[in-house]
Amino acid sequence: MLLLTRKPGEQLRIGDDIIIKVVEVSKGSVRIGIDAPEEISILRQEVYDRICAENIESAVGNTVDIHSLSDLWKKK
Amino acid sequence: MEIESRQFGKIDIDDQKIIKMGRSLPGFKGMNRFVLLDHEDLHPFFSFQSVEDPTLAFILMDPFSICPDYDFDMEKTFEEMNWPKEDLNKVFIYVIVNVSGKSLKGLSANLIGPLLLHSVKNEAVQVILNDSHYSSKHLVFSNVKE
Repeated sequence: MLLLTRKPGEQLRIGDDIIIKVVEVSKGSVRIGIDAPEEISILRQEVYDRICAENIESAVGNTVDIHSLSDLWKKK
Repeated sequence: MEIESRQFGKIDIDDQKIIKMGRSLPGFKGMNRFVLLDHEDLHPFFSFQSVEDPTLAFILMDPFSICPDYDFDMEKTFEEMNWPKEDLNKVFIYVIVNVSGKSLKGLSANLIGPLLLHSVKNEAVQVILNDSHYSSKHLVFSNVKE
C-alpha cells in the first residue's frame, strides 16, 4: 500500500481521472473529497465488507430448499 | 445447454438467457455468468444459479413483497451499466436472501445490496447502497406465528 502524508487542501491524482483531496482534518476524522468518473464506485470499506460477508454467507448457507421457503411463505 | 443446478438438479437452460455480470458480486470475483431460475409457484423466491460453478447459487426475492416502499437511487447504476433511462421498465430488482441459523424463519434479505437485472440485455449488477437506512438482514418472516 502506498502511504503518503498530505495536509488539508492538498490533493492526490490517481491515474488520469481520479483526484483525492484532503478537505479538513478535525476531531479524529479526515474529510476527503473524491473526483472520479461515474463508472467508478466509491464505497466506505465497512459497507463493502458487509455486502461481501452477506453474499458469502448467503451462498454457503444455501442448503435451504427453495421449495420449503416458498411453502413457508404461502403460510404467512 | 445442460447445467447442474443447486436447487433443481440437472436443468436445460437457454444460452440466450445467460446473465452476464460485468462487475461480479463482491466476494465472488470471477463468477460472471448466471441464470435466473423463475418458477411461478416459487414466487416471490427465485434461484440465481452460476453457470460456471454448479455449487454456487443464490436465492433471490422480490423486495417489494417484504418492503413495499423499497426505494433507492438507480440513476448512477444505469449510467455505469450504459442502460438507457427509458429501460427502467425492463430492469428488475431482486434481493439476496440468507438463512442464518437453523430455522427457515430466520431468513433475512439484504436490502443494502439489491441486484438489478436488465431483462432484455441480460446483464446484472449488485448495487451497494452506501448511505442507507435499510438493513442487510431484513427479516422476511418477522410476523410468522411460531
